[in-house]
Amino acid sequence: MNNNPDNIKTDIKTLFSLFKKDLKLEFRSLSTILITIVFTALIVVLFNIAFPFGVAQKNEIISIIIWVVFLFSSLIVSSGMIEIDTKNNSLELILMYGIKSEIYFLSKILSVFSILSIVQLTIFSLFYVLFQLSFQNLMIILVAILTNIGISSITVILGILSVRNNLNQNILSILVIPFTLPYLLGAVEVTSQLTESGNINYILNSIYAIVAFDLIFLISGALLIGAYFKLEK
Amino acid sequence: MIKANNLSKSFNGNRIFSGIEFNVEKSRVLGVVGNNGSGKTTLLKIVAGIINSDTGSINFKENIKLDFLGHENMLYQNFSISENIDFFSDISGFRIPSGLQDNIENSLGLKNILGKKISELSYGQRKKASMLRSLISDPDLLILDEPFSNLDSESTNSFISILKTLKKSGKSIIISSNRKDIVGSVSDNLLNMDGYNE
Repeated sequence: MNNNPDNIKTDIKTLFSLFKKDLKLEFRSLSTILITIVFTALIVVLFNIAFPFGVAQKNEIISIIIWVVFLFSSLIVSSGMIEIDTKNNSLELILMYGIKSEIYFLSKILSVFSILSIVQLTIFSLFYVLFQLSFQNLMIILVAILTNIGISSITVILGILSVRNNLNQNILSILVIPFTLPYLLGAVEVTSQLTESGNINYILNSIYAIVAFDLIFLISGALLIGAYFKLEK
Repeated sequence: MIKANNLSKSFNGNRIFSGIEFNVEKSRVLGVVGNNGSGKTTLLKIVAGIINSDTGSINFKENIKLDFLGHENMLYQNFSISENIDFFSDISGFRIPSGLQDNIENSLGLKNILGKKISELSYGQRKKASMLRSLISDPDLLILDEPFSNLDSESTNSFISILKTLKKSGKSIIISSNRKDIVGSVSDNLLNMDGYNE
């Protein structure tokens, strides 16, 4: 890899061009954002009916719902964005211009992360109203950001592989579970603790684990997608 | 400018072609003709570097810029022509001077519809928008895959005159089609793909 400052500058410029394009296209159609918000809101309302207030493990159940719903929302967002690139072979052109697969991968993570964060803001507000969920520690924002990075990385990897191979979206939903289960367990634990007591001493190990998983998925994802695009040629 | 030696390609054990050789000099047009399934698109994608050949090599004499215009328009349907041009110029890092861009937009008849979304354009206009996108990067070698398919005779003639102008301006072109008559009228050499799959 060439670490020439000019090359790094060009890569960063390209990364933001791709990111800007994704967001512009997304906000123009609003299709993925609307589907995702409606999907998550529906789940939230259904669970609100199924688990009335006063249930002993309320915080834990809500934490599980939050992250599973965000995981599937992220799947919808990432596969939708990648499909736009592959629909008219625009991705072939992007790669023909010599854009590094790692840059493409990172731009997609950035785009999915941003859309997912918007969805999360909406849904956390909804949770607050429906479940009277109190966030006693602002660490929840850090946890949300860290977990979003991991979820976005995994769903972008699977999204690229499935869209490029015309795999059914249902298979994607099944594939994503084993990859994210240990990861989600940590996020659920942390969210549950933070909404309950706000004490961060119990959850530092889980946060370290989330950061470690983020790095693993980011690095292995960049390598995997790079190798996949080469193999595909 | 470009010389291809002994190119071959197979998909899932099915040989598409083998032993393809050709060269293209500056200001020359190579027409690639053949029936459907003869491997024209595959060959052009190999030259563009989108896919790899199984054997053989392509040698570029200089560090030339090339651009590819495929079957699909390769543009973002929810973006206007201008937005597509801006995006692809940004990522390719190349853009011709604005005066020259104005001339190309005029000659392609796109000047008044630059703000229109690709999804709102007719088939012929989309082809021209793709052509504009590829010319903005000022390529030395332009690779065009079936540019005349589904075009009416008026659009076809306008495309042919654009190609002749590009050739005069020093561009090299590789163009594929199953319409030998049309390709033959603009090409200096013809490569017939039929018979290379044995």
